[in-house]
Formats: sequence, structure tokens, C-alpha cells
Amino acid sequence: MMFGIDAGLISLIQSILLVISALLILIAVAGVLKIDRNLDNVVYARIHILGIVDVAGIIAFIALGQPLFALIYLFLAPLLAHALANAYFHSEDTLNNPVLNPSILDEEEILEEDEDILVETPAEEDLDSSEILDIDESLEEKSEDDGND
Amino acid sequence: MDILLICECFLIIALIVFLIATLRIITYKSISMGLIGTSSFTLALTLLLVTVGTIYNIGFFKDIALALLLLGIVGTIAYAAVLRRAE
Repeated sequence: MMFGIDAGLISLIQSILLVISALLILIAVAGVLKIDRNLDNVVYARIHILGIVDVAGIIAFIALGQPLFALIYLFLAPLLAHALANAYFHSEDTLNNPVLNPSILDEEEILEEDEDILVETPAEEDLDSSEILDIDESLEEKSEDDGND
Repeated sequence: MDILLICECFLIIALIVFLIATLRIITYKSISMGLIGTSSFTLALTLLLVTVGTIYNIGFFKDIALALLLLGIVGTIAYAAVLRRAE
């Protein structure tokens, strides 16, 4: 008897928690190994998947009667994941880091210029049909005045 | 056979599969993937030691696991900090 609960019931709860953690670990293994390595930002995806194993480890530590391990890993696992992602971004991530890949900045500048141009020119939908007709007529008059005929 | 023992054996099998998967992750090209695989390997080994120590009632397995957990994570964070400042 522990906390007024039958030992058999505690053993059953421990067993369920262990099975859940084992299943989570196996699911994470399948995810990490089957994810397409040609995807963009796949390293961050792998860190994300391995977060499942962190949670499974904490559950297993609790089920095995080791709350100290679970508490330590509960605090250290997010720090670890953040440190790994940060290190990858600043050292090897040529897809997102403009320091490692300056062409990202050039692409962003081109996109901003395109956006400015789109904002300055009004769309044809905004103009009334009568205004468009007036513009066409004025253009025809101008072409006649040019004396190209 | 006790159901708890069966579940612990199931966890051990899952952990061994995970250890092999982390070895595969470590062999990827980039340094960051090596770090990620190493940290996961440390967690799996810690969990394996705690599980085996619980099954066979071996006390010092837990001490080794605690040292491995702390030093492994702190070492990985330290190396990640160095890798971040290296560029």
C-alpha cells in the first residue's frame, strides 16, 4: 500500500506508462528515419520529432520511480533543443541565415521592390469602366496628333 | 510473469531500437546532426541503465545514469554554444 493505493494498481499504472513511453519512442524512431532528407529545414523537423522522445523519457523516469531524473530532464531538454537549433542556425543553416547566405538578402530586396511597384500601380479593377474608356480615347487622340499616319 | 517486468522488457526493446536509430542519425553529414544524435543516444542509454538497474536491483546503475544524464546534456549544450560562436 502506498498513499492508500493498492500495490497492484500502482504496478498496473507503471506498466501502462512504460508501454506508452515505449510506443512513443518507436513512433519517433519511425518518424526520424522516414522523414525525407531533401526537405527544407529538415534538421529543425528532426529536433522537433526527438522532442517526443524527451517526453517519453520523462514519462518512463516517473514510471520507474525516478522523479529526480524526470525533473532534471524536464528542465534541461528545452534548453538542449534550443541550443542545438541555435547552433545549427548560426553555423550551418545556409537556407535561412543571411550571414551564411547573403543572396537571401538580395532576394528579399527584390521582393520588397516588387511589392512597392505593385502598391504604386492601381489595379484595373479599381478603375471604373468609363475612366478606362476616357483613357483609351485620349490615347487614340494623341496617336492621331502625332502624325504617324 | 509479472506484467511490470514484461512492460520493462518492452521498453528495453524500444530503447535498443532507438539506440540503433540514433547511431544512424549520428552518421549524417552535418555537425549539428551528430550533436542531436549524441544527445538522444545519451538519453536512451540513461533510460536503459535505469530500467536494467530497476529490474536487477543494481544501485550504482542509477548513479552512473545520473552522471551520464547531467554530463551528457551539459556537454552537448556547451559544444552547441561553441559551435554557435565559431562562425
